[in-house]
Amino acid sequence: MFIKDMLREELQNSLQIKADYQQAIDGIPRGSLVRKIIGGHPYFYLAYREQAKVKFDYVGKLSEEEIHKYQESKEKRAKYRKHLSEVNKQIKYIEKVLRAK
Amino acid sequence: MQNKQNKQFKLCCDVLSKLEHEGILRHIVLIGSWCMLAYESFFNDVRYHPGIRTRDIDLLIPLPVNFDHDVDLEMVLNELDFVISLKGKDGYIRFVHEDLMLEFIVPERGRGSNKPFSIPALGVNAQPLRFMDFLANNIISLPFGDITVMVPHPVNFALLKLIISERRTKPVKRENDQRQALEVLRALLDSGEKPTLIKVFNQMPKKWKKTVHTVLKDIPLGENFRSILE
Repeated sequence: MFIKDMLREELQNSLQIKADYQQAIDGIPRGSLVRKIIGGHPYFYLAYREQAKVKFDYVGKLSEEEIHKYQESKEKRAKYRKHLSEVNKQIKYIEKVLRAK
Repeated sequence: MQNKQNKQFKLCCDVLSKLEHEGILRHIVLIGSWCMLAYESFFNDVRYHPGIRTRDIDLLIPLPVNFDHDVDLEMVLNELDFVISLKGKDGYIRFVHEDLMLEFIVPERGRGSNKPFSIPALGVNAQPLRFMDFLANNIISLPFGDITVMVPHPVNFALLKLIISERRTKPVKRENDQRQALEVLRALLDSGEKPTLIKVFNQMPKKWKKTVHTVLKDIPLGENFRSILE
């Protein structure tokens, strides 16, 4: 009983952590930075997949610092997605244990 | 499970190392179930099992808050992939990671308030909680991984666990508090700390002593410790 109650609490924690990582991911711009040369000038777009299509959102000209920030955001997003995936595994595991008799 | 525990322990050490690197660990006391791990070195000559830990790490900031420089804690912890989470309608700040959740606590003074206690130097807020001065007033330093961390003396930790267990509404929390308290009390007696236990107990307010007695009376194996604290 004690262990099951602890697991129920951990499940609530995992659900909260899942929501928090999802919120953090939602706050990071989606997509990869793509550089296109138009008229000899570099312009940047954010490329992302929406169902079967790849979409490009115009960003414009970017400084080196801004490019670096986009790259950092992309890495952060990938890390958060990995953590989110682990949290989902935790949730599945705890739910399975709690269902067991 | 062992891997998970190791991962959690490593992450906890990483967090404490970051706080030390930023020069703020000396103002912070590790409390809650995670300081049970630090007690392993205090009880290294006797049988002692820290038991089950949850993901919550509670960090106590004794009052008055005395940081001599500012630290952007959100940025520091973000480097370890922690994200901010707001708890409850009052908006207590918590840093969460798939393996750990960090919360800051300050002693509650006076009539008390549900409002978060702002700590501008760290860009966070803390939850004021009763009885925390009892922990903050008797601090020891112990090794935790490769660093040294401040924790409450195990006597204060165990007695407070008994007191707050009586206030718990969730049976699981109450039972966990009491298990931890008994484990530490037993290890204290085995390691010859009985005089310290009696001394600290005798300095407690009458009402607290009565609560300790009542709780020990009602729990299995509690009677042995109750007779010592008569």
